[in-house]
Amino acid sequence: MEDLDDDSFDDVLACMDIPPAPKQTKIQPATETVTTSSSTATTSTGTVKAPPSNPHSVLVHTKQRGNPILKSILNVPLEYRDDIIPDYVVGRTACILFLSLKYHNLNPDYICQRLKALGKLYELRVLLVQVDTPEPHNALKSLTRISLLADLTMMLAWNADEAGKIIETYKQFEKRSPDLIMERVESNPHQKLVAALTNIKPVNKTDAVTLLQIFGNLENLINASEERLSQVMGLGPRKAKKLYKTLHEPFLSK
Amino acid sequence: MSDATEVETTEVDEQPAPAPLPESNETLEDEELANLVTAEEYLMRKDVQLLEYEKQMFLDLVHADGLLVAAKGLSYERVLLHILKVYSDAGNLLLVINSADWEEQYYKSKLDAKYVHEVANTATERERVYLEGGIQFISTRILVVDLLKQRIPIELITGIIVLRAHSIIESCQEAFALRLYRQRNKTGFIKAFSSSPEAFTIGYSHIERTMRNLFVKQLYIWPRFHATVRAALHPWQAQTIELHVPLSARVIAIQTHILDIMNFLVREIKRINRSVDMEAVTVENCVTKKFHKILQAQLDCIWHQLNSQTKLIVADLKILRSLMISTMYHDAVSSYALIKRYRSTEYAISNSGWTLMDAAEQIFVLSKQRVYNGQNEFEPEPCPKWQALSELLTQDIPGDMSRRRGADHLDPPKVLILCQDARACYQLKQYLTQGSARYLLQQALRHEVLVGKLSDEFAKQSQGAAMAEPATKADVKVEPDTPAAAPPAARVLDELSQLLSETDAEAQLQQQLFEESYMLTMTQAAPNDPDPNASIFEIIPELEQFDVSAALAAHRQPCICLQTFKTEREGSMALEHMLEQLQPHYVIMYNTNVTAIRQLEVFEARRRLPPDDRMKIYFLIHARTVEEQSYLTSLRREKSAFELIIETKSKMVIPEYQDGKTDEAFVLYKSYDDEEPTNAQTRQGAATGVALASARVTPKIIVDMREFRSDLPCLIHRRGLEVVPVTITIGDYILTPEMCVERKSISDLIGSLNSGRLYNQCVQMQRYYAKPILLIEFDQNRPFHLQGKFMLSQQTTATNADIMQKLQLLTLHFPRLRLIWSPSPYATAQLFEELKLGKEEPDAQVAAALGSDEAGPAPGEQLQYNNAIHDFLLRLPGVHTRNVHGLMRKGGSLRQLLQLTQTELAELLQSQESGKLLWDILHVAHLPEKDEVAGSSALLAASKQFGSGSHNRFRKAASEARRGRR
Repeated sequence: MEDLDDDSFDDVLACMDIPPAPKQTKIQPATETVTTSSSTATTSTGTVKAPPSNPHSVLVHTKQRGNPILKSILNVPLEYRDDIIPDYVVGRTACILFLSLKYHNLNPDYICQRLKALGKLYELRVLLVQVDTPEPHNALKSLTRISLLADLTMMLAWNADEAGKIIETYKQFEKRSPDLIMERVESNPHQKLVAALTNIKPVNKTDAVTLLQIFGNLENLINASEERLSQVMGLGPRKAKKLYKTLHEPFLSK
Repeated sequence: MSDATEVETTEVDEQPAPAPLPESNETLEDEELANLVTAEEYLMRKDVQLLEYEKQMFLDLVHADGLLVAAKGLSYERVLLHILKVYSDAGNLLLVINSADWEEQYYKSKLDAKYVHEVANTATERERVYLEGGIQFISTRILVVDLLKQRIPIELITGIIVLRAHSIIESCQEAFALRLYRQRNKTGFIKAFSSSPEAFTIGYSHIERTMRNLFVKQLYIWPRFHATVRAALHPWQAQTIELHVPLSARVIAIQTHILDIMNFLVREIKRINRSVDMEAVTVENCVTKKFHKILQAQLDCIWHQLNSQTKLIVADLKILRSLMISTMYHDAVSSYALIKRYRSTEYAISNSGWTLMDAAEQIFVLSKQRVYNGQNEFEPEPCPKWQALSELLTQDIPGDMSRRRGADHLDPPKVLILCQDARACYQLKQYLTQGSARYLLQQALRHEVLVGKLSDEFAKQSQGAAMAEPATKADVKVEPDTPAAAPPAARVLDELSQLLSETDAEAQLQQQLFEESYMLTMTQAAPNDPDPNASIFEIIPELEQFDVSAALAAHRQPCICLQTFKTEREGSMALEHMLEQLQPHYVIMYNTNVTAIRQLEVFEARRRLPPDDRMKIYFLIHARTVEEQSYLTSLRREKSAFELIIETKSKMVIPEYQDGKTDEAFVLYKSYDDEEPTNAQTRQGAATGVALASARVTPKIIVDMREFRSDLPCLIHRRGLEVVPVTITIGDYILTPEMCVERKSISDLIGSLNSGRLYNQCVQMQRYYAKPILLIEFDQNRPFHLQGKFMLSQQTTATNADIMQKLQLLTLHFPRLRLIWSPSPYATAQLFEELKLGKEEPDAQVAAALGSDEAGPAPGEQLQYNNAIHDFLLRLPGVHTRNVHGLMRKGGSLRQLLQLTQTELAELLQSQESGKLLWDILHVAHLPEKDEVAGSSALLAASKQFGSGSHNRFRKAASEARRGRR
């Protein structure tokens, strides 16, 4: 089953670099990606330029038509297109490749071909694996290694319904802020300040409360000298130094 | 040989024993071997009170490493104690692992404190203490880290003693510690003990694998039916009297009905799941104590395949078992209260349907009849054993006493009553001190069972009890927690309200005071008392401090001690302890228990008294009932477990190198790993082998110190990789300079997704490592499925979907984060090894420095932000993940931000509102006091802030004081 030659695969991957990282650079490369993807698609297929897609719908490759997982995508519209490379496009920078383990066991080369075609497009590249074999572990292990080499994020679904829900959620969460998975910060400003200050490494909660007590607001605290900070009860020279350094360092490093 | 010298050195240290036991001569049979003589001389010369079979155990284990499996109650504790004594010397370093708290306490109290060292908290301190030698009871996690870091002089360890050896599986910390020890130390010993033969029957060739993990070649089996054990115990048998207490007709009927239902449900389970092996689900097993354990072992791995009906039935079987126990052992009122709960409509719709059966209806009716009489008046029937117990205590025992000792007996009788748990213990205490009627009434009030009208008979009884109480109280001493003197009039019902308030207060007290032992005494006038229900028993207060001897000295009265089979503090040693202190004349087994019975036998064999002076043991049994059956079943299960172990031993093939004293064992481990058909990547495997052989570099993985609670480091090491324990702040495992892994078990994953911890961890990982990895690790014994984990809890699929969504959100925000879904730690270890192939080794110092104070700039990020200030800004109001980048790029520094106006800030943040919020936080003072009052979520915030709030005031005062001084 393991016909996949990892070394040759490495070669393919060697010519790719890591996809551009996080959010700050999202806007420009993302648009590029989409345009390149559509342009490659149009050039390769040679058809007329496809009409612009609805930004709220999941783009589904026409080959996926009839896939049972589509039945459980209920809350977002679907749009079938043949000018996309991945199986599903769920955002400007996110795509999904769908793979059923049963199929993978029969055609282990399939996923490699798909990845070659995909190249380094998209930022978030999800490999959605439906676990539908009784003993999935070996296949999953090889897929894990592939996903590490080819920068794929592997998600598992245990049935078609779950798989559909995953696609749907990706689309729905496209622009969702991470608040849901971040520490819940209290709404009141004092607590927010305490949370912000305690995030600076050696400062603990009592220190933060004392600091706010003494300096009143953040302005005074920022303008305080390092010596003044070190006189604050419980703070000492080490913490004061670190705090001062953090509050005064420029946002951008050289 | 080393054993011999060690024994000799200790003998020099200690004073010669006073007088050798005369019997010890018999053990000197084969004196050919020199070290045999010394070990046996130890037995002979010391004041060692060991039974014949214990001596044999001692000799076996002193002479060779091995695993000793003893039957419950045969207590290897003494044997181990003597082994520890032999090795108590500064020249030896002896480690005891896997011990429970009570075991540790027991051995520590009996050993010379000079040689027993506490495990120190700091690493340097520990290093010093290790060099002092002696005996240490050490937690395995600490030991593993010290072994890896070589803080402990491995070559100098004399030996390791493993308790509860049945729990040693390949992946556990203990096995890891032993492997590390054996790799570097070829001469020290390993001796393992277990008193749970049944545990070895679970799983495939459990005992062989355990022995392999323990590095022992010998297996010593000591069942109760061993000839030596029998010979040692038989001559000293105590006189036993079985009292068959008949159950009331209603209880018998209830029992039959419950069994009927169980039978039906068991058949139903088997009918639904024809394909599944349901061998363990029998009615006989249903009534034994370990039923849920058996069931868990059998069903856990296939739980997700069972349909909901089967799951309901299993839950119902457990309920029926609890009903059975309640009917048998608890009083009529509490069991009625329990059964009543299952008659509710809510329960009726959520069970498998047994409540609709005729038998169930009968159970409800019968248990009601046990509490109310024909006229619907409150007249609960007392427990059948109560009467028998009272008769024993008031008539049989005093009678027997005078018969046996004649008129000149000086000692008042000392009676020990053994029961199964604290609840039974409490029940008996209340019965004996208050009388049955009063106790039942109290129970009714506590369980909110409708009392209504008392029947005349019952009213008279409870009155009698109430009357008798002040009388007896005057006799002995005041009890602190019994109700105040009861009103003399026959206004029992009026008394109820008073009782109710008392019991409320009392109930709270007794929630904590469900003691495991009580001590009572009997007033001398008791036998002449005309009222059988009057309480003639009083609590001796001294036992609060567990000072039995003081209690005995203070009271020249009959002494009755209530005790559970084992206690929280001392485990099963509590009984032995109690027997020694009390030296009872009579023992009443209120419930039966195999371990306890054997402990009594062993105790008697140690005392070696003439038949007349031995204990008299009364068994209170309901013959031909579930109680008797469950006792017999546990005997049978133990016997068959032993038979299995004996049979396995006779067929067992143990390789010569299993003791790990040669390098052979470890060489074989590794080559075995390479040969394993891992993922069919034979070519790769072979390549690794070659690479390893040529380069001679062991691949290493940096593991966070805190990860040593899990199995994974052990399994990584088992695959031949080097494990480097370091305290690191980012990630749990560092595979290569690029790859950093955060391991999450399913419950961790859920917890940290909800709390936001995982988000922060991912921020950190993404910042410093090119390939951050989130490893989602499933339990190998559970199905490989997100839902499966929650089989026993009430988690629904809704929360499951929620977790999946949160995980997806995480991947959306960390597109570089890779996910690994691992079915078990074994698979993870294997994957780690493969991921490391041909990659650079991680550097422990670099990994430890990352994320702590001064770390180098992160690789791979295009725009270099200062991370500390980035995180700080992100937590200010008005700043969030999307606008923080603009702020960072154009803001300059905090000082510059201070100069900006609100509109300028709003421009930077691309939002009017955010600008206002940020300006506000920078320039306006926000005090907690104000928030506390003004906060909308006042209650919650107030309770949360209470601690810090009060602290603030203190701080404020303190800082003002400072200012004043200055």
